[in-house]
Amino acid sequence: MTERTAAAGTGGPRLELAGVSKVYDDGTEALADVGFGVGDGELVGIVGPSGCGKSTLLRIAAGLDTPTSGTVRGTADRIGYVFQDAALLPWRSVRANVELLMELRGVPRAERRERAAQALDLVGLTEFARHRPAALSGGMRMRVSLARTLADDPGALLLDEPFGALDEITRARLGDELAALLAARPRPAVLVTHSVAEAVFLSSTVLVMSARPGRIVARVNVPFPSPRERPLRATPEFAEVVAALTERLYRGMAEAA
Amino acid sequence: MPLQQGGTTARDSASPPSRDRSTTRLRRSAARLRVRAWLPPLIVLVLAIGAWYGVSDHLLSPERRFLLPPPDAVVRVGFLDAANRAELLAALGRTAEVAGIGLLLAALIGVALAVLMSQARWIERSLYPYAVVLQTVPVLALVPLLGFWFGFGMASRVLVCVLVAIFPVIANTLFGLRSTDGTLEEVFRLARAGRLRRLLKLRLPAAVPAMLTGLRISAGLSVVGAVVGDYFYQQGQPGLGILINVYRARLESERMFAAVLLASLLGLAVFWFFGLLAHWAARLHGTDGTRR
Repeated sequence: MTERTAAAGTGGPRLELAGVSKVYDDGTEALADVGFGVGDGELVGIVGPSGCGKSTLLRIAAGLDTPTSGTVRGTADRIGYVFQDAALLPWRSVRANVELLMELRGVPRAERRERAAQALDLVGLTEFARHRPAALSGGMRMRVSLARTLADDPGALLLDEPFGALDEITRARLGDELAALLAARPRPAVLVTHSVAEAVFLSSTVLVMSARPGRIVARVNVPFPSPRERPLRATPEFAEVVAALTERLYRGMAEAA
Repeated sequence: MPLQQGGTTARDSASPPSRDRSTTRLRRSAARLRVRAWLPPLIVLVLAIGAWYGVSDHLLSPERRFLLPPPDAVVRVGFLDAANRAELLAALGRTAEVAGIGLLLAALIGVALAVLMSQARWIERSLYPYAVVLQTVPVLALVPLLGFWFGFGMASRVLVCVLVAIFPVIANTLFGLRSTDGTLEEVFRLARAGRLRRLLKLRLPAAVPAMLTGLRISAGLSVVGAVVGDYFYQQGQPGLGILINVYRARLESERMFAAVLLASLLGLAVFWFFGLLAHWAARLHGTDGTRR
C-alpha cells in the first residue's frame, strides 16, 4: 500500500521509495523490490534498458501509478513532473502555459505573471512569451515545459526522459541548461533516461536497472563537482564513468536475458 | 543562473517559421492556388446551366416547359419581380429564423448532454443509445406527431430542427471531450485539478474544433428541418417550405424554382459560414502556429 506522508522538516531523504514492486493485471512483473532515497539537493539518475520499468518507477514516485507492494514517502509538498513530450496547451500562449500549474493551485495573478516571467527568462524564451506552442521548435517547447514546472517551484523534481524526443544536439544543449538551472537552485530530483552520458552529466548518483522485471543492480556516485558545464563532457574522466556504467548496464541486461 | 549560450539560447536547430522575404512570390502562388480551387467548380456550374438551358429550350416542348423553366425565367419571375421577391425573402427570413433558433438550441442542449456524458461512463451508457436512436428514427415520420402535440406553429418547427440537428453536436463534442491528450490529463491530475477545472481549462477548449465540425453538419441539417417542418405544418406565416408547396400546387414553376434555389443557398451559406468559423477557431486554437 502506498503511504504518503508530509512529515515536517526531518533531516532524512526528501523522497524515499522502499521495496516497491509492480505487477500488472496481466501478470507482467515490471518492478521487483526497488528502493532508493533522494536527499536534499541530490539528483538521482536512473538508467536502464527500455522496458525495464524505469518510467513506471517514476510514475509511482509521483503518485500517478500505485505500486503492487512497497511504500513511497515524500516530504516535498509539491512534486514537479516533466514528461517526455512538452504537453502544452496549444490554445494558450507560452506565458499562459507557464502559468498553468500556478493557476490551478490558485496563485494570485500578479505573482503568477512575475514568476512566469522569471522562469521564461531562465530558459531564455522571454521574447517568445506571446507565441503559441505550435510556432516553436521541439526544443523550445521542452524549455517551456521545464519553465512551467520550475515556475511552480516544486519541492522535488521528477524528470521522465525529458529530452527523449529531441535530436542529439538539442538534447545535449538542454542538458547543459538543466545542469545550470539545477545548480542555481538545487532541489531533490530524479531523472529517468536511457542515455548514460546524460545521467552521468546531470546526476550526483546513478542507479542502473536491470531488464524486466526492473531491479537496481548498481548504485554509482558521480564524483564531479557541481555546477557542471559542457567541457566536462569531453574529459577522459567523464568518459571513464560513462564507460563503466554502460558496461554495468549491459551486464544487467545479460543477466536478465 | 545565466545559461551558457547567452542570447542565442532562444533558437534551436529548427527556428520558428520566418515570415519575411519572398512574400510576394508566396502571395502570387496563393492567388494561383485560389484560381485552381475556384475554376473547376465554376466550369461545372457553367456546364450545368448550359445543360439546364438545353433541356428547357430544346428537349421540352413549350407546353411542358413548366417542368423546367429556363434559368433566366426563374430569375426574372422569382427575383426581379418586386412582389415575388418580397414574398420569397420574407419566407427566407422566417425559415432562417427557425433554423437559427433550432440550431442554437441543438448546440446548447447537445453540448450540455455531451458534457454530462463525458463525466461518467454510466451516464454515457445510459444516454448515448437514445441519441443514436434519435439519429436512426426517421424524424420526418415524427413531424406530424410533433405537430399533433405541440401545435403547428413556431414551437414544433423549432423542435423538428433540434431533433434532426442535435446528434452531430452530441457525437462530435463527446469525441472532442474524450480525446484530450493523455499526458495533459496527467499534468492536470498532478496539479490536483478538480473535475470542473479540468473541464473548463482542458477538455472543453480541446473539444472546440470537434464541436465546430459537429455544428457545421448540424447547421445544414437544421435548415433541412426548418424547410421540412414548414412544408408539413402549412400554418402561420409562410416560410420557404410552405411557398414551395403552394407554388407547386399552382404550377408556378418559376417561383417554385426560385424558392428551392433560396433554400439551397441558405444551406450553402450556413455550411460556408461554419467552415469559416472552424478555420478561424483553428487559428485561435493555436493549431496553425501563428501569433494570436
